[in-house]
Amino acid sequence: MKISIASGKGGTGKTFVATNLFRLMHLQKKSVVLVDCDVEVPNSHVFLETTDVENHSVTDFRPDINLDACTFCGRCVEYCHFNAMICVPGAHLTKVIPDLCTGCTACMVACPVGAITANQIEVGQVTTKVTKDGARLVEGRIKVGTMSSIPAINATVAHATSHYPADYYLVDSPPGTSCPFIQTTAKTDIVVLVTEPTPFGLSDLRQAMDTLDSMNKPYRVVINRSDLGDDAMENYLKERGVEVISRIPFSKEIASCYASGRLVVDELPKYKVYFEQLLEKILAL
Amino acid sequence: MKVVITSRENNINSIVDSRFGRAAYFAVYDTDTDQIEWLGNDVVNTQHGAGTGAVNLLANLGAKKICAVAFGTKVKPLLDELDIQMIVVKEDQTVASIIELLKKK
Repeated sequence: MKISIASGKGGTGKTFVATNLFRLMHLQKKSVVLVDCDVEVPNSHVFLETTDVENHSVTDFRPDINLDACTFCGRCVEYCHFNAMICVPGAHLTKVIPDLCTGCTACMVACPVGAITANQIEVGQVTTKVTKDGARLVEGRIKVGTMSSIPAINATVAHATSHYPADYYLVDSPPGTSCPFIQTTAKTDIVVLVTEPTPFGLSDLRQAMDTLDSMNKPYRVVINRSDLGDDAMENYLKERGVEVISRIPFSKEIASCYASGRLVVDELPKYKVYFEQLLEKILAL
Repeated sequence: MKVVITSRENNINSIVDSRFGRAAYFAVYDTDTDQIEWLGNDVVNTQHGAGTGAVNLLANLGAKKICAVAFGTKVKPLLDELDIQMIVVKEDQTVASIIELLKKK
């Protein structure tokens, strides 16, 4: 079973929930791998004291243009949805702007004379890390300046699932509701959306739910810092018929525990119970 | 020689458009004939790479100089490579006043 921990808004507690659930599952002797797909800032490892055991590069297509073969017809520019190509016959120039290229290969398909060939560039890294007690984390990380995080996300999930068979994969998703969120959640069986009862939290959660509905992807909601803000979140979810599977209260103890890079399930028994109950609900889905 | 000026509207009394890639119009002024051709910018609503799209459009028109309020970091090296001169103009200038300045030079 693959479970993604996602949100619309950033900073609602995805990594907080993912890392604590992961530790708890490991303590309960469940076969689980944590997959950190928040590839722009993967930080699950901060809470887990890990050592790296394996690392490999993620590469992606970039066009290699042979100007001697190019007829400057401009079809590659027409095909490029991202304005990453320019073609100026008068200046004898056809060129890719690598920062805009997403590696879709449309230009190579477009070229009628085969002047564009595939070049591979490094766009990220996938690293396998292990905790002292043998729990495994697979982390994706994109190279700074890379336009698209999708290749790194795909490689991270593929590596985790193909190399480390497990009963459960907990997948820490990137924030937002755009391609990185869609790619990550699409690879999982169920999505746990972590939100907070604020106007921004609600607005972004609504978008996340709409997106998942359009993908026919089942999801449940966890409200973090549930005693802050107002009732708008609860009322909205009730009206929409969405089940809230956990309400984690705001607590200075939790905040300072998280801020010092430790886990609630290790340090704060009175809050550990929230994760035990949440896990039970997730496993019953 | 063709000189391009970014413009908010398609008339010479319009002030310059402060965006280059997403300018509403490009005034293409021909210094040889003293004629202006107005070009709607079809990359204006594109999500990515509006600047590059505009460079592709204007370079293929044969522009030798471009007047704009600012040029982005992806656009500058491209225009350098294409040997198209970048002229930075003030935000409140009209297309007409820039043409006057070009004529004086």
